[in-house]
Amino acid sequence: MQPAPQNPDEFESVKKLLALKRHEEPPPGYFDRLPGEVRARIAHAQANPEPWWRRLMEAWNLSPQMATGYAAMACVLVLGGFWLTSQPGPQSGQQLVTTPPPLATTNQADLVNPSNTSPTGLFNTPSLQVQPAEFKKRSE
Amino acid sequence: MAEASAANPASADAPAQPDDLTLVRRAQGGDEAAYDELVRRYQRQIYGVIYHMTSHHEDANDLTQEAFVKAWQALKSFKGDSAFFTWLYRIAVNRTLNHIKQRNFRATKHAMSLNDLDIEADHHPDLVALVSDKTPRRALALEELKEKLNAAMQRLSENHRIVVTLHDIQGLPHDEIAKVLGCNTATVRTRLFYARQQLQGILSDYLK
Repeated sequence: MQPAPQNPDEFESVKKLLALKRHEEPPPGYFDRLPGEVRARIAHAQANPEPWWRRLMEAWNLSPQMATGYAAMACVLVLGGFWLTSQPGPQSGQQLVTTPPPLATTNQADLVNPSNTSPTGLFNTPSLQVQPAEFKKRSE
Repeated sequence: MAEASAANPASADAPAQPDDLTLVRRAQGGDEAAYDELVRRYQRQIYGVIYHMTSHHEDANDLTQEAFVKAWQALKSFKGDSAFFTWLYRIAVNRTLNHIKQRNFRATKHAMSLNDLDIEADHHPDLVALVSDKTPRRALALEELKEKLNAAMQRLSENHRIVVTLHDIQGLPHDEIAKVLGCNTATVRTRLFYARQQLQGILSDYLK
């Protein structure tokens, strides 16, 4: 959203107040010492390079809280992975899944006509053993 | 703090002095004296922007040094696509914003070094106009105004505060601020408008 067109004098007083902050100065002699302190700090940084994780954090612009969160999440995932792999598998322990019972208990030789090599069910329906139905007369 | 030449401080220097790019090339070749000169050239501006963002001298000192160290370490990657000044400002501003985020900066926890206001400021015509000489408790009012001003700055969001700092305090033009912050000029103008509006509301008692 764009602001409404500004009146040039609208914020004149605010700008004057803010301009006063230009007069805020560090302690006397500060700027004479600063280049030397920077040089010393550069020398120190060259002698003691930052650890890799700190450089990584800076490169990714991570705050310590975020980095801790990510690290905790990674630990949980790794530990969870170990826990899952250490669990007994279905083959080694108690058999959880039983083999399904055979679909048909009838002898295949009885069902398929040996003279015909075509697959069962296409041209020759297997002869299923069907029990004749019994009808009972209802006694009035 | 001399901020007027912040947009192009090199132009204010004596003509005999080498320009930024020459110094940068020398520093890239390992010339520490050349980098020293760059530090001297920009230390006031860099310290200024950090100080106005944090309102805390110790933090500003630490972050200023850090910014110059980081700039030295990254100097090899400086290709000259932007001005060295803009590149350096970007490093300083990013580090300051990160610092503020990381520490969850709260103005009330930090003693504001308002006593560091230089003597000249007390006689600044704008300040004299705002706090009349005839006020019996002028000194007290002056201190109160300074505190109120810094507290008001701290109440702004970082994005608004940095724009006000760079424009209204340091005198950078909108397009230069846009380059430093990596946004467009319209965004800078919008943020500046809302920041001033907020400041006007906070400081309304002093602006009557």
